[in-house]
Amino acid sequence: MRKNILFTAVLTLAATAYFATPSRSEGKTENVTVDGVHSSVIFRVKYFDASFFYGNFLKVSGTISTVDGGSGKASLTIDAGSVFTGSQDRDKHLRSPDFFDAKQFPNIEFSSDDVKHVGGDKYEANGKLTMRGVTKELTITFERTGTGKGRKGEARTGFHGTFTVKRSDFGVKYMVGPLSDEVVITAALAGLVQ
Amino acid sequence: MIPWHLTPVPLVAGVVLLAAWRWRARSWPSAVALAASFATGYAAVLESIAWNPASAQGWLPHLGVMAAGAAVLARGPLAAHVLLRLAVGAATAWILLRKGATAQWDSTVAAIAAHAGVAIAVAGFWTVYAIRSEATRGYVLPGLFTLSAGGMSMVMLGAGSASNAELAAALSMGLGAIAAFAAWKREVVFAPAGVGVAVTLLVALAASGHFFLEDFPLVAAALLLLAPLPALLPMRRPWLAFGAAIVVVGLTVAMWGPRTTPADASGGCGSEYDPYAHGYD
Repeated sequence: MRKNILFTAVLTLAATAYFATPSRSEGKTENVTVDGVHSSVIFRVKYFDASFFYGNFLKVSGTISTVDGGSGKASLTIDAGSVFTGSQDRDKHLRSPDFFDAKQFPNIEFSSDDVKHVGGDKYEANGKLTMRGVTKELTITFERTGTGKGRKGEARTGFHGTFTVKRSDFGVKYMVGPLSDEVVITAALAGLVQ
Repeated sequence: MIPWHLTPVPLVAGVVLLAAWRWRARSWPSAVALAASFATGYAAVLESIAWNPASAQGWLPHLGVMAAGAAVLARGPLAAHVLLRLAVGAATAWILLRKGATAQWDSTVAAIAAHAGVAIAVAGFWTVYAIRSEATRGYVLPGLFTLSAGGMSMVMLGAGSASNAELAAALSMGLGAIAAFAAWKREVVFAPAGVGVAVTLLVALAASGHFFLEDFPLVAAALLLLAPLPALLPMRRPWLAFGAAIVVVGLTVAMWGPRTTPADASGGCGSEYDPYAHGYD
């Protein structure tokens, strides 16, 4: 009798633990809205082939949906005018047609209809990056950095990915040389699970 | 800071003018020289010229070539010339503003007004500066336009775009080469063909500055485009026209040109930002 009670209790606990844990069962879709306030998109260029310089964008929004065993979607919009480097004059210069041309092309956008879970916490998004009116195919590998609960009990998750683009491919050709053509972009996204 | 990369600009203008002089051409060479030298300057600043550029800035050399073509081929009475100039102005407005319209203007009326303003500015200034073309000395009008384009370069720098500043400087250098050649060969005619290219490129640069930069007010553009106006006044001493233009351009640059950044405006990074810190010399 005691054995049966113990067995039932263990089974109940195991079942509770199983169903309480966020499941990643086959075909499960998870929709995440990017929390722009707690996300960072930073870029890195090489200055005079000697040192690295970092800047970031203050406004980012988007959605990411992952489908276990299937193909998800991602859409990320960066406000080009929100570029911030710690110098008002440099930020104005970066917003000008010399670089992001933010008045003419207010948004930098990445969209993908092919977000794949490639094992562990790793994902791969095959999509298109549009900047300054030029669209290029791009594959971004990123990882899920964790899951947790927010202050109000909301489900939260995070993603982190780094990729490299050649800015001249997008028509940003000014000062190539003093500032490297290759730009490394890192997106650390906080997300609210819907 | 010496922009050595722009030295081919006056050379190209000079070669075109010299070649045309040997062929005894007088009316069209300044237009072709200006369009060719500006395209050379554009390629020097931005590495290449795209056939179908995505941005408004990318279309500037095409606009110079279009204006030169229209100026060289223009025939007939004044009305026909004005109509052609309006067509060039309308094309300039459409090419420059078509991608900025949806992002910047919240009403169709504002978008139409912006397009009409650019078109009328091209046709209007082109027609006004061509009125007394034969009466002005060879070097005066291109010389005054050299000052205007130079002022445009400084205002562009103040507005935050070093590349647009360099393009305006390239235009100024091309105009300067034409002025120098016209001082040497007084028979060189700058208007109406050369004026057409100069006005189209100046208005296009001003429109790019006003609509796509942050601190390029319309009044600055208007003052720079009006600066060569004294050339049209019947005066015996050209230096008076140059003096008046220097005052107007100088005031415009003083108001909207580059200025040193106060230390506390640098965002606390401890040093002033210089867009030319990459150095050309």
